[in-house]
Order: sequence, then C-alpha cells, then structure tokens
Amino acid sequence: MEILKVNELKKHYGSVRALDGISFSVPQGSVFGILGPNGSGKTTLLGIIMDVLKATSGSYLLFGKTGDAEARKNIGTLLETPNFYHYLSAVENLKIVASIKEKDESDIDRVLNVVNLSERKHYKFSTYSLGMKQRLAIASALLGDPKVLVLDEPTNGLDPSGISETRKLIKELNKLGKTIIMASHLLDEVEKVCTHVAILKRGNILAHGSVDELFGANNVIELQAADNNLIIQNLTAMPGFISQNHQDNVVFVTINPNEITEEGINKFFFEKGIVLRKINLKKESLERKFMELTN
Amino acid sequence: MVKALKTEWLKIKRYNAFLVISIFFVIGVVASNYIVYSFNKNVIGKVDSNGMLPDLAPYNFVNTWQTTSYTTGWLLMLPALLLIILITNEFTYKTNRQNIIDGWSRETFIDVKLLLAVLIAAASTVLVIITALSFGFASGTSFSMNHFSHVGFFFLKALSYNLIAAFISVLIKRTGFAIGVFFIYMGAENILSQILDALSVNFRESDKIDLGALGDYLPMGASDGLLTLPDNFIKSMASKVLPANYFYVVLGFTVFYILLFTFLSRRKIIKSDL
Repeated sequence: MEILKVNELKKHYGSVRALDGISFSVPQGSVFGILGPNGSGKTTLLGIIMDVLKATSGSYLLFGKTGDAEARKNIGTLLETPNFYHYLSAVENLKIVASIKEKDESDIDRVLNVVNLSERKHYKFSTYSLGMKQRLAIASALLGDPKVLVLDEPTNGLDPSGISETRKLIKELNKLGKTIIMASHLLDEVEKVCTHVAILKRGNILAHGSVDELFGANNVIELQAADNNLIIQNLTAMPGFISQNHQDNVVFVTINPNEITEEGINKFFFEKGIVLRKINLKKESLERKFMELTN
Repeated sequence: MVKALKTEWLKIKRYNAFLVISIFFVIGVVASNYIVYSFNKNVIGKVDSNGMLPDLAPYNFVNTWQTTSYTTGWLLMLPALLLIILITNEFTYKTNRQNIIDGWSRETFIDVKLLLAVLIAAASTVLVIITALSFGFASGTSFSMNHFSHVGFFFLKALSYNLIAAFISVLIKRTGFAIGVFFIYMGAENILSQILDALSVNFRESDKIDLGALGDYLPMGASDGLLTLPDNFIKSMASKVLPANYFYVVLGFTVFYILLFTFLSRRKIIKSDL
C-alpha cells in the first residue's frame, strides 16, 4: 500500500513556482527522504500535505484516501520549527497534542523518555534550548505511536550526539515497521537513513526511487598509477567504462559493476603495461549524484 | 466541539494574562457600577432641589438591569483584549499550524475560537446579572425583571465586540499590532459615529427625513445603540431634537454584523495559507 501519493501538485506564489507539478508516492515501510537545497520546495510540499498551505492545483492521498484531519491524527509530524505554547511545560504542551490527536495522555512519559527530556518535563517551553525544543517536537511526533512520521529537518539544532541518536531512532522506528517521510538538505543524513529518495530542485522532482536504484547502479572506482595520463588514455577501451574525472593525483572512474570487477580492471591495465598503485571500489556517493543532478 | 473546547481550556487555564485580565474585568465592572451607585446615592441623592431634580434611582430594581448593562458596556474592550491575545498567541507561537498538523481541521480551529468569543460574552453577561442583582438588593428595592431585555442587549454587544476582535486578530496576526488596530478602530468608529449622528440631526431638521441615528448602523455603533440609560428627564428633553430610535433596524444591524464577522473570520482561516 502507498502511504502517500502526490499527484501533479502545484503551488505558485505570484510568478514564483514553489512547486511545479510534482508527483511521487511513498511506499509503506520506507524511510522516504525528500532531498533538496534550501528553497527547493520541501517544506512547501509537506505544508500542503499537512493542510497548513493550500495547493494551487493537484491532489494528494493519505492512506489511499483524500488527506483530511482524521488522517493527520494518525501521522506524527514535525514541520519546520518546534511549535509549542511558550508559557506551558513540556507535559502540558503534550497534553494539548494528545487531546487533539485523541491519544492517551499516559503515552507522554514514554515519548519524553525516548528523547531524554524526562528530567526537564515540568519546565516551561520558553526555558528550553534549541536542541531541547527540537527533541520535544520529536517527542510530540512520536505521541500515540503513529505508524507514519513526517519529519522536516529532524536533526536541526541538535548537537552531534543528538543527531546520531535521532538517526538511530529513525532507523529503529523503521525496523518496527513505521513509514518515515523525511525532508532534509543534508545529503549525508539521507544517505545514512533513507531507503527511498526524491530529489527536489526549484519545485521540480529531478529523480526519485529507491536509494539503491538511484545510487547503487553505478559505482565509482579510484585508480592511481605512476602516470595517471596512461590510465586516462586507455579508459575508453575498458569494458563497463561510463565516465571519468581526476583530481589530486587520483582518477575517479564511474563503471557499470555488471560489466567489470576490480580484478578485471587490474587485469585490463596490466595487459596494457600499466601497473596500478591504487584500486579502490566505492559506491557512487549521494553527494556526487546530487551535484550531478542539481547542477 | 466539546472535545475541542476542552483542548482550548488546556491552553488557557495556566495562562497568566487570562487570569489577570479576568480579575481586572471583574474589579472594573464592580467598581464602575459602584461609582455610579455611590455618586447617585451620596451626591445627587443629597442635593435638596425642592423636587427640581427627580430621583434617578439607577439601581432600583426597575432600573438596575438597564443601568448595569449600560455601565458595564463601557468595559467590553477588556474581554475583547483577552480574546485578541488568545487568538494572536496561536500565530505568534505558530501553534495554529501545529494544531492543524496534529489533526484539527481548519474549521475546528476557528470554530472553537468563535465559541470562545460566545463563552466570554456569556461569562461577562453572568457577571452583569450578578452585579445588577447585588446593587438592586443594595438599593433596598424589591425584585423586578423590568428592562431585563437590556441584559440580552449587553450579551449582543459583548459578542459584537468579541467577534470584531476575533476578525482583527485573524487578519493582523500580531498581538501588539492587533490590539493597536482594535483600539484605533474603536476610536475612529466613535468619531465617525458622532459625525453621522450630527448629520442625522441635520437631515431631520432641514430635510425632514428621519433616518434614525446613522452612527447606530456601524459595526460597534449598532450594539452600542441597543444599550441606553434608563429614561430620565434629560433623555426626554433631548429626544425632541434627536433622530428617532428605530430599535428593530439597530437590532437587525447588530445581528448582521455578528454574522458578518463570524463569516469573515472563518473564511480567512479556512481559505488562506497559515
């Protein structure tokens, strides 16, 4: 089943096309990353799905039905910034969330414990640091144990240990069968956490699919020899060769892993009389792919 | 809606401004009525005018509902102020977005605020009833429901003020700015109302057309026009030169504005980006 299906969604602000007719769907049980630079339309997209923004045209389905308030009650969402009543404590704020979501208040202690806020749970929200506010927002999203989480820049404002704990938490939640839709401009975050990804730029989807499909097909191999020019001259004749570039005395070669292996590469150059000093196979990094797509 | 109202109570009950403004309002209502009561009793009542000045007896039971409603009507900016703060807080904290993200519909969000406007008006009305009863009994007269309709007019006035405040709040969104606009509007409408009333007197004299007091057809003026002081000799003298009081037209305008601001506030929240 598809948790979310977006169909030709458009959002125009005058002449600015924040979303320019995007379509994709989020499969159940995935960690779906919406990746894009600042201003690419990630928050606008999530804002429309959560009904705080009105789409210019297009539609979306949540749990296979037109998205409405009832559907939102069963999704834990952190959108943009943590939004709470400043004069109330963490517990009092979460009581309001529980009341709106029609979930039991007894879950409040559990979620505060998950984000390590139990000790400060009776302090007013206004006394919280940025990281604590963000953790409270994550706790609020977890309230009632929803099957779907929508997290917009979930590690924003967190310290390194908070970032790593949050990523771990997302992976654990996913293992428990939860679907997570996550917007981020951090490539590394998406690479570490997501199973699926949609790349957004200026309101358009440049690519979407499973991370393996998008980034696993082509691999990059690092080669080095006494004279790198000899490698470059012979590369075009190598089976499985796709493209190359070189910097810092290393040649980066994109290959099709189905056509050639490391052993084959070594053999190929040896037969040409070139002895390789270095041969290092790595998956094409998301960063390179992202730059390739967005530039 | 009861469920939504309970959620709303969770937001309000620990909010200091709610408590402070409520206390100020209660003290203000009792104090202002006491001043009128005491002035009449201790100043006007002690003037020996040989019958030239009739006894106004504003808080005798025949008059107390009308006097208390009229006097308290001057303090309705306080509950309106409270409502402005409660609504604009949501925009300041962006909790309007969060409430909807968490699973309220936009309709629930605005309807519970409008219901709050009704409840605040109702609570103010209960306060008027208690005050009127207390001063009525303090005047030593026996119970009467004479002119109790003015308590109903007070409720309509409180509701009108609250709904204008609610509309300004959803339109302006910023607390300080919204409070400023509300008071400036109140002042501006008052000035406009005086000018229109003067024009009405003019029309009546020069053109023999009596349109009623035109100032009573404005959003705040309409419900203001419903509440009057008990009849006295000054009023009866002035009524000879003043335009007629078309009560049902004024009541019609009051209801129209209540519906208009309800509609506009809902439309703003339901249709626009939050």
